[in-house]
Amino acid sequence: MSETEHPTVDLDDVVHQRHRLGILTIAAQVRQVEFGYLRDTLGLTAGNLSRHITVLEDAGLVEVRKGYDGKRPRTWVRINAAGHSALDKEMSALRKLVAGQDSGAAQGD
Amino acid sequence: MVDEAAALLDDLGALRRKARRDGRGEWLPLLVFGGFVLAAPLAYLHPAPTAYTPVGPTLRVGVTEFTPLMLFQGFHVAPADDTVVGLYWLGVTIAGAVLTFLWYRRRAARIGVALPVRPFMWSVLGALALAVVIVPVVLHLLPGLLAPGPTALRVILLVAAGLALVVAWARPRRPNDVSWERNAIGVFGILLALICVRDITVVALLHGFAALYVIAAGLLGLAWTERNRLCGTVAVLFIGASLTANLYDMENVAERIGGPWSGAGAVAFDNLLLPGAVLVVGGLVALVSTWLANRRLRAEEPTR
Repeated sequence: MSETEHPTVDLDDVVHQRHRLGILTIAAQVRQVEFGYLRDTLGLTAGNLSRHITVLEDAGLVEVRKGYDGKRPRTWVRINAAGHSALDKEMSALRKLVAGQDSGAAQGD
Repeated sequence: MVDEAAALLDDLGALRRKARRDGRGEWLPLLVFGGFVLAAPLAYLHPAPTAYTPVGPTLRVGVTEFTPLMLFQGFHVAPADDTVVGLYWLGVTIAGAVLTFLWYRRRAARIGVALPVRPFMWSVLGALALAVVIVPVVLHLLPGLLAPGPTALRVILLVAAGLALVVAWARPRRPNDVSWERNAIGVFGILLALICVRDITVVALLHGFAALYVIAAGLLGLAWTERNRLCGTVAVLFIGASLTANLYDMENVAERIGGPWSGAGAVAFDNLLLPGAVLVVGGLVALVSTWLANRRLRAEEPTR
């Protein structure tokens, strides 16, 4: 298989990071997701999560909205069309990678 | 690397399921609307009608005069000018929509996951606008639409309208995806449906339970929001029950099984029992399934 055909070529350095993929995956299922929910679900510290969200925001994949729930500050993350597209591409690349291994193993049987 | 990719896909799948599960809240809207439908017979507690005249509260807008609640009154069950019945259905559809919106907003604030409630709100408000404003105005301005035409053509147009609406809004691509092409197809479907307004009017006016169709439209929007099979199943069953309530005389079934009651309230109850029960049972199943899923999740947490 040539280098241009290998599924790893489609992996994006910004998206292909476990926690950033987790952020995009969760955000893609809902309209928007709150910072605290992401922190608790992904098991990250606030600082760590904030850095990953900043990377995604700078790459134009998510939008961040800060607001208040009463007096309590809340930060909401929403995935945009570019984020959906990047996530779809990453998931497709990962599935091709796994499928390639599965079909290679089947041929070797 | 491939093993890592496979493990990553599994983990991401689990995150996807968790996010959807945590956002679920369909049990309350189902129970609320179910309760409103089952309580509706109370609004019909008056003598049975002797004649049908499509009157009721009339609105004048410029030179146009129309009766907004005509589809919510009908002649089979209630006196044609029964404002109480019309206002009850108008009130509960709006109240149910507002309560559902506030419920999902409160859940989002509490849990941290916000589902897109707009499909539900647009479905209810759009169907309400159709029933309370568009159809009555069109019937008033273009009474010729009531003239019968070739049945086959009307059926084709109705099916085409339904398909257009399904293509436009029944299958969400993504929660935040608002595509103008989809909206254009949906509007086209609505316009097609307006051409068949006579059929819609007959179907809706026969028993005067058109509000059930408004609620059904909202449930389809809710199924879109929730994206879970239970919600979709309840929506489809409710549509079937709504058609039954509007087109079939369920009081005859009640009479055959020996129901002792009579009067407009009883007739309303006989026809509304099935759609109301679908919603209440669906809501209870959703509540239990959500509780079980949360309990399973809490049991798994210490082992992670």
